[in-house]
Amino acid sequence: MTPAVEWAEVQGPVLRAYAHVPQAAYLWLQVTDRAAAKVWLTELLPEITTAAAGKQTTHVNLALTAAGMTALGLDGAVAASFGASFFEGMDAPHRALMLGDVGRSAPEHWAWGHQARTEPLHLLLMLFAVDEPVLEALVLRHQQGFEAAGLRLVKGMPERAAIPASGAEHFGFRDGVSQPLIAGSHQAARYKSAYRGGSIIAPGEFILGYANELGQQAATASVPAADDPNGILPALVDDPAGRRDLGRNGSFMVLRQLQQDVAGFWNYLSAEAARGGDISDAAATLLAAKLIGRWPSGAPLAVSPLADDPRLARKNDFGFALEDSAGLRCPVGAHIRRANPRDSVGASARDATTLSRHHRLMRRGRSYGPRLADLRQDDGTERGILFVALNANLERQFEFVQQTWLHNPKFGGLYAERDPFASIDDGAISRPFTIPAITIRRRLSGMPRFVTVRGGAYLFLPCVATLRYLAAR
Amino acid sequence: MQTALTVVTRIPEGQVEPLRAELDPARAAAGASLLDRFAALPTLHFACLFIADATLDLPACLVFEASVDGATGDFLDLLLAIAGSELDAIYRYCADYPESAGRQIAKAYLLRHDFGAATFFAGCPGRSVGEIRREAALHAALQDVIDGGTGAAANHAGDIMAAARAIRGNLPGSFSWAAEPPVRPFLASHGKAVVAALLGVIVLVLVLLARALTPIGLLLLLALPIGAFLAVLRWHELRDDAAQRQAPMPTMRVREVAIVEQESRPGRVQNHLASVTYVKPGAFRLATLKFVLRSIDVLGRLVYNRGRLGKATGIHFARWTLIDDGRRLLFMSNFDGSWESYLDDFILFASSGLTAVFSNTAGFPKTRFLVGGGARDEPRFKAFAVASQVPSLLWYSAYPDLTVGNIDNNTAVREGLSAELDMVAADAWLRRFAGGGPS
Repeated sequence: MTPAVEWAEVQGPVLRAYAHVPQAAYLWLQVTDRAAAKVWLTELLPEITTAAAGKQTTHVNLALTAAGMTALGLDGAVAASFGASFFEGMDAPHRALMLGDVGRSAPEHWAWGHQARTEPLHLLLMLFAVDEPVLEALVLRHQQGFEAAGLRLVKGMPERAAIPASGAEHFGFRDGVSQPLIAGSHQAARYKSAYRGGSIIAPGEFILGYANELGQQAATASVPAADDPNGILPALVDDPAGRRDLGRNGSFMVLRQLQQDVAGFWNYLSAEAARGGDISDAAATLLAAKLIGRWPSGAPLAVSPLADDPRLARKNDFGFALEDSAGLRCPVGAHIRRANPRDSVGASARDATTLSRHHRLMRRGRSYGPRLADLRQDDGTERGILFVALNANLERQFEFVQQTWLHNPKFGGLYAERDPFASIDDGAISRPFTIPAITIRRRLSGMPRFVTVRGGAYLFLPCVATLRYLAAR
Repeated sequence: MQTALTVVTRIPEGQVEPLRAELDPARAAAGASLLDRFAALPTLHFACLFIADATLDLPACLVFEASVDGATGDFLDLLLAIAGSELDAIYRYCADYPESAGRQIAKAYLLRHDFGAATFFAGCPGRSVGEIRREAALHAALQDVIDGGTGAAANHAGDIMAAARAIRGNLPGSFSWAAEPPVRPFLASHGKAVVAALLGVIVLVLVLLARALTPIGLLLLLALPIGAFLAVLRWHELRDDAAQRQAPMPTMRVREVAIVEQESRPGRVQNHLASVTYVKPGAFRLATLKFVLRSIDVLGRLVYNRGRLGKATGIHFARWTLIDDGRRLLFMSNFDGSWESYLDDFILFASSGLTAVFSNTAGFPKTRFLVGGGARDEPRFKAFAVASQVPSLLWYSAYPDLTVGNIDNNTAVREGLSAELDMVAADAWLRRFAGGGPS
């Protein structure tokens, strides 16, 4: 029996998608006066929403970069012990290569988050509200305090993002359907499906300090007991030296601004549909669904291959190995199959499921920018997704999914394809996409990039005790 | 037949850095030129040169690893004919190398320092470089046939048999060789039968022994040495644990940036891993290690000869080689995909074999009865893997764009050209043009 998660310590987004507060503001802050910022943090603490809190009209959460930790006075070596990827940052040249952030998506072109060129980023204040007026009031109240708190608002990233009422991202497809459920949480208890492989994942895959799928704890950072004289932090488990644990109940957060070329996407698909002899919008939509693996409503092609079915909009208890191993319904290279292969990539369905469970992400993204009125007519306005993912091990989870599944030309036995929504810009102009069919496959070619990375950062979403410790020391 | 060549030569003190510079393909040194020469060798699958650093009283060594078709002697003849001057430029930094003494003397030197492999695993046994390349071209040509009118016409007919016929019928003339089916090596197709026969012999011997010794006598005969081995093993493990207990939990693992950059280039499909570990002292550990390595070698030839080592996929060639009279263990692998996914495969699906080997080397995570724990301890195992990896200074692949899965699929595509296809087989063959095979 694994110990219960201390939900009152864990920040809310780890457990909840906050669908009831669709409007959000993400404010990047730079610490200019450490002492004042600590006072501000002390006063902010009661407002931080934990996973134990119920639904409210507003929620407040705070994450830190490695630079933010040192800006608040934490020793650089301690921040470094949170892990190489976190400390080096998403924009480190070798990590950018690993993530496929090259060409137009390279950090050199980012609007923010390129540490060598753009403004330093320390704290990310996340404000959520039921509607826009409530959000703006909340933002205003917080913004008024920044100057006195020694905080500077850093511009560059879109500050507002929302879960659209339709649930669909800008291309027009429901997003965020497949989410892991944390074992022991109320959502997992409600989940009735006995589907093989399921989606109930050990807490340690998302929250530091608990057993993960291998029955082990992810690496954490700690400080000597002498640095925590008031005993704010929990003790490091099984440590004879009595060090205090900074990571426990925290989670690593991936933040990426992914710009979407909506008109480019639909114009390409219409052209490809026409090349296949069908100029109808339905034919373009079918191709789009093949690229994504779900219909606009969210219904998975693996379950509903021929037409959209809104009754299956949130369907998530399905696999590929038995239903669709050849990809006749959902192509092997489709986005949802690459991002979470479920039971399909491994020596057997069982092994494949074990593998997938080892590489899950809790996604908390939202859309930014206005909807495009005519999907095939670009309006020159930027729009996209603020991609947010939470995990306990950046290398084994986020970076692995990006490198080994999304960008891997050989994924699932393919030869030279990439995720259709991959932001990687490697100069290839005719990246193919194979759609298996009877009698013979169809191959799309000349697919342009539809997604460009405009900025990104690795953060840590610490527990309440760690925030209190940072404010007090 | 594929062979492992592992030439290990001592580098005298003071020569390591000049040699490293000579190997650097980024500089216009012998290394860059050698890479070009490798490409002209029709029997070379993979090659790598790396340096095992000097540690304690063990000298720095240059390791030249090659996976080749045919005998190593024949390969060296070719290599020396094509790249004699490059090898001279590199090996003159090594001890006792007979520089400019002629090909035969250089060949004798290299053969004398060939340590081969205690364990050699091939993911595509019996497939020659030439066949692998030709079958890849065949697959690509047939994909073009499908993209041309033929495939579309066949699809329009909606008839599986007609589609297969149309594709086969439009095979470009330059691929007429492909009408001949590939030859699978004997053990790859009959390995299971050999295993069954061996098991049969063992059972027969046991039955005869039981008659001669009475069943209880046989039981004692078997149980006593095994029990004694396990007891001594456990004693060693507990002693090793006590020695390692004080070592702190590795909270961070930092891989060398240069290695990560090299492995992460966009479009990079295969990677190389070279590691140097130190065998724990004592005859017991060395004997156990040798037995385990031999066992995995035999299993790889008899059972795991269809592209998978246990459940780990995507390994083209892997080997373990013992050097310095069994004091250092080299591990070299040419594999598909990222380092992170390679290690994960081992942790999740092949930890026992890996643990049985590396638990006999220093610094490996706590192990129980040779196969338990060890590599399952992800943070400590990855820290061990990071600490033991050395940069693959010069690495060559004859077919850098192909995974083991691609190679197998291409061979199966070729087999489909000459096989009698019924409806089910024709459908399966047509699916081979849509990916979806094992990753």
